[in-house]
Amino acid sequence: MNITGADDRCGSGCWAAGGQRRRPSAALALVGVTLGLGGFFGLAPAPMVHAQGGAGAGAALALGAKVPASVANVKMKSVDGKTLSIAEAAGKAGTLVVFTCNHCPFAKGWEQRIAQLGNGYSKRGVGVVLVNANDPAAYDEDGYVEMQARARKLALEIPYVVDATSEVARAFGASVTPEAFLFDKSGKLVYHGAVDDNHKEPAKVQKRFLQDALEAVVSGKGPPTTESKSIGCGIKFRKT
Amino acid sequence: MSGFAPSSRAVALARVAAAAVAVVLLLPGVETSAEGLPSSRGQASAPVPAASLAATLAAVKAQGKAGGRVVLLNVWATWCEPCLAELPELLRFYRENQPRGVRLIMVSADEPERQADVRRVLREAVTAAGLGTGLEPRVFIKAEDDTVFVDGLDRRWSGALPATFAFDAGGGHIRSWLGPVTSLELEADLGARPGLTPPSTGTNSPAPRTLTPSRGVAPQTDK
Repeated sequence: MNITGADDRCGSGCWAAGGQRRRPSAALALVGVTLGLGGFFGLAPAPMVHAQGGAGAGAALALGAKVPASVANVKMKSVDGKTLSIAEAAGKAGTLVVFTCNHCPFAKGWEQRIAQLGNGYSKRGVGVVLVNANDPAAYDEDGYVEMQARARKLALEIPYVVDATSEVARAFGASVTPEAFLFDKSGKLVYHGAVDDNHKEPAKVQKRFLQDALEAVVSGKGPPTTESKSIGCGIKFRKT
Repeated sequence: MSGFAPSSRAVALARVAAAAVAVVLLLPGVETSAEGLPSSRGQASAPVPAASLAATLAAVKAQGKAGGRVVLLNVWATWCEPCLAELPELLRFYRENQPRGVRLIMVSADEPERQADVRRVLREAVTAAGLGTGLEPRVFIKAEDDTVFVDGLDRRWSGALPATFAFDAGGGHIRSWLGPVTSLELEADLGARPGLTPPSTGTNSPAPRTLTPSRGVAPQTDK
């Protein structure tokens, strides 16, 4: 299965996608225009300062994109000591990449459900990888040994890997934990966003975004919801 | 995804916001300030009002109508270390620029049962920042579906905390800072708006476009 794309981040519809994707040169030009005029004349979209931009992510992968070719084969060390890439982890039915971590209250709130979904759908043909892109210098709890302990606690049967330079998260445009990217069997991104609509109380969940999307993917259908958002912790990117 | 923030949906929601704010104002124990907004003034244990997206945007517009030239909306949480590290910077900018028309609204993403923590953390920060009586920022606890709230403020925002948004006097969205921001950066980025930047505070300093995430750690948080 081909899960990579040479130009995943910015196809022909870059800027048209709501400011989510753009060619760098065009983006720079637009930033210049908006900084100069937007605030006064209201002709351009409100300027945005990616406060974590220098060390962090840009716009997230757009629906239909493939795993960025630049990072598809990056080897990442998992909690079992082995290394694997997203390309190697890809499943026949689809591929799920979840950027998560140990320390974040939201990641903790969802971790049991992420483990259950990952363990369950990995047996149904979905390749699942949990990626920790956080710099453990920011939070000791996000260190490798702590990841191993968390994997044991959760009885993870899926890889929980270290994005040692945060380059995978940057390439995906991931910026919050947890943040899920689900690719279908053809390798196209079909769902991006939250696990569900209640990180704290599983019994009160009303919208099971990720589970519904996974079920659709293994059934060869399109997810009922393709994008969702959740308040959460910013990824603590490693210095470049 | 299409469009820029606030989305058309957010604008539509804002049209019914006056009613939502009216509901907030009717909550028992919520003081009404001269600007018609819930206030914590003099009420250490007063409940922190809940706010939907519509009510939040209505509060922004109300601040503009009450004389605010730039209304900052900061989304934060007591468990969020970068938010707490950013808070003194935000309050410093607000204190220095409040006379020039800067207003500040803070929306906490904490759970409603943590409103006492929200109030305490903010009170301590306000005191440390030297903000006088009557200058406390408005504070709410988010009561809205995350996707609706996040996309309603800025579709480019992932939901990662903290995030700060600037609006003009008419409630129009003029800028977003996604991640921790400093008072210097706020000054630099908003200084182009006539009269906002104090003449004595380096208006010619370069405006950083990228920030390094703060790592200040408040021991009571997050873990």
